[in-house]
Amino acid sequence: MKTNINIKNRVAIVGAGMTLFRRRLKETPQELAFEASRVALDSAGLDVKDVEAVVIGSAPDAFDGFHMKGEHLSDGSMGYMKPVKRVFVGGATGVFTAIAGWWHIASGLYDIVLAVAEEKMSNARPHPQGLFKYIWDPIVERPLNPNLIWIFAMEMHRYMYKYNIKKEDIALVSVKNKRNALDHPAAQAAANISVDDVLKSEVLVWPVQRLDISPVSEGAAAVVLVSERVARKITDSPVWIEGVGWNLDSTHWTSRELAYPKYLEEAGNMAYRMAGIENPRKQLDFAEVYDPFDYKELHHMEGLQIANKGEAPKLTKEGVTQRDGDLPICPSGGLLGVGNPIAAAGMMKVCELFWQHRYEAGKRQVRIKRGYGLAQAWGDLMQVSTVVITKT
Amino acid sequence: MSEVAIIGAGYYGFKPITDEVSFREGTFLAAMRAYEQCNIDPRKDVDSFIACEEDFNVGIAISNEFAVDQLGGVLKPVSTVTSESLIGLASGYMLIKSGLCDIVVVEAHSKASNLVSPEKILEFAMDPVYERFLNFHPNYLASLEARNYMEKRGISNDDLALIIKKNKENGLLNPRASYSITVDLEAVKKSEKIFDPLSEYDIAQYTDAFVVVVLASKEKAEKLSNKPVWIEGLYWCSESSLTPLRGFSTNALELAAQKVYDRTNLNPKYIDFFEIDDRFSYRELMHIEALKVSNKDTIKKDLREGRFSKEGDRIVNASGGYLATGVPLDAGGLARVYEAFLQLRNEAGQMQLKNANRCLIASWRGIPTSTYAVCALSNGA
Repeated sequence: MKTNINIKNRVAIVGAGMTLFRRRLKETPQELAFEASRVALDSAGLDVKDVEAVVIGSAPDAFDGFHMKGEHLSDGSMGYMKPVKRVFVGGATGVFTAIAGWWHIASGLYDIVLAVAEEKMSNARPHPQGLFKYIWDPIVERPLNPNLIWIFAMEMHRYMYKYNIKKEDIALVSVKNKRNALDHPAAQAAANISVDDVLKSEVLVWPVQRLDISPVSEGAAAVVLVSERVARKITDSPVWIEGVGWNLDSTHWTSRELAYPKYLEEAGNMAYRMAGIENPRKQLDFAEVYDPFDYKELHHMEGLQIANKGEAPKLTKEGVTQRDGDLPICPSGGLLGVGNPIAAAGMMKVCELFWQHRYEAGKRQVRIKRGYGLAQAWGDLMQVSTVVITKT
Repeated sequence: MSEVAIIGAGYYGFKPITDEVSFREGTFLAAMRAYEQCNIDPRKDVDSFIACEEDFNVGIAISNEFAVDQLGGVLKPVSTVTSESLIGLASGYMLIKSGLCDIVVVEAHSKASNLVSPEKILEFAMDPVYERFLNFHPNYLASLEARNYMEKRGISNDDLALIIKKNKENGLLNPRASYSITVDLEAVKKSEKIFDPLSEYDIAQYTDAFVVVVLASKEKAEKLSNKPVWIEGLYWCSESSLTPLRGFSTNALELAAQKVYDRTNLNPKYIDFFEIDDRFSYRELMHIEALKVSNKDTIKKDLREGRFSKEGDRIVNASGGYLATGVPLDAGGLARVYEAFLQLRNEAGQMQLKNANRCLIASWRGIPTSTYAVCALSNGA
């Protein structure tokens, strides 16, 4: 891979907003998108008329029950009579929506872009998991009737086996993130739990237990992205997007080494190179690593080269990843604590970058010493990752 | 001179059924042809890949998962734009304009033959509160819109037959036009109205098609291609997805076209030919108006005088359009880009137009959307 590092136009985040994350919300998908967009624009001090283009992110159409979901969401996302586009990279869509917004402005074509991510999962009954029946290769895999939790259980198992990692060490992630989320006003699954609670929770597919996994959620989140020219005019504290990266591995996950996310290493390297980061462990202040399962936070820390292979649990155990540690991971509470409305969850992480950099995160605030924050998401058939690096 | 060019384009299909290939195999064949044309190795030379697809059309709940291998994009920045493929092309254009990428591949495909009842899928694009419960065929909206437009402009079915004849017969010279025929105007006039005032002739059929285009920065384009086709400007726009809110308008297309004209300092007089959406015969006329190729007062006269034919002074759909080639779902925009690419490189064979140096492409996502994209291409002459 050889993307360039000299980008023509700098891009800043100047506003962020999100709805509550809940298992069921009364609002329609459009209303959720509207609410997050409105809050984001308000926080930027901008109006819908100022928005020049809109990027929408949402995971499978089937969740909301719409064909061409981007079209349906466009009105609610302030896209009336504007260039609107929906992007989609499975679970990694949330962070990718911000990346797509970034390239609108970096290209010089637009100055103010709204990036909105939304997910409505309660429409799928009895459970949205049923819709994952249709994500598989129709010939080779679908007849086996697999389930997403099964394949993640395989990945978790492989990770534990290869690096000799214990379940109780992985459970520490769930304990940390759910506790962090107690300070997040939009959180759905915040709790003060112990490692024992995780280990005693219901087994879904061994080794995945109920408290290892993020909840089914719905909600929306949005950020306002602007060019340097506009940013200098409207705010004293823009949050600059310094690096973006995304990478997709082969569809054939069965022939992949599941213990290490190579695609994330590639996505991370792309973003690090652009941001001029040579040692992420030393240069990042905090990272919103994607944590739909507790083991995934560890897995992703290693893919992002924040920890050596198999050593992320050690950093977690030593408290390095706590909010007051040397490199806080998921200070927001992550998907495990705040909730997991797929695309909106990734965008929530980008929102958290904005609030942390601007010292607006309240009790969740971490110390910004070196200036860099990172948000990451992951998806498809354990095959894609998206990364955004920000700087104050 | 523009900063972004199309240096390669390939296709497979444009047939009512392609049961000899899967959607991945068809895309692979199109990609190979595109890569060969500009002599690139996707694994080494391409910086990013964009696939344009909708889950419900592909039949896979996260279709992005299956976009990667057949393009040679494993462990590369690959993403999906779930929209009209011209909007996907716009993403590639922006990636290059930003300076991040030098070469971007954009792919779109249609395996419409897999869809047993595409109209039932379109029902899921209707608003569940205001529209879906009415349980109507999506083409019913087209029939209302056609009636409204024809009444306003004083256009008859005989006029629509002229468009059908023009496009379906233009297609006779196009190897991708599976639905081209020699049109007997009397037969068209006598044909049964299936969505009154529209007959089967007025409504383009679906087709299977796989299209891949390679975009490059100016520097790379000049190095890799003798005949780059330059993207001079593009814009896309959506009105509302709710038909009751927007009525029968093409306001979003008007705005998109105006933005392209403004950005490129062009007007329709400087465009040598137009490749525009004609999935319904009357829609070609609506789009011609929105692009300011004609206007509401002159459209009927211009049509009857044959000004939009290949012999006319404002050539529209010399390829045969969707009426002749079929609608390849969201690959439509790239399909039109492919036709323009051939014309602008003087490689369109029997279809070749004289002095084809600049083309304007306009795409629509079809019912029930109001999403349009417009793109101006030129060969730099």
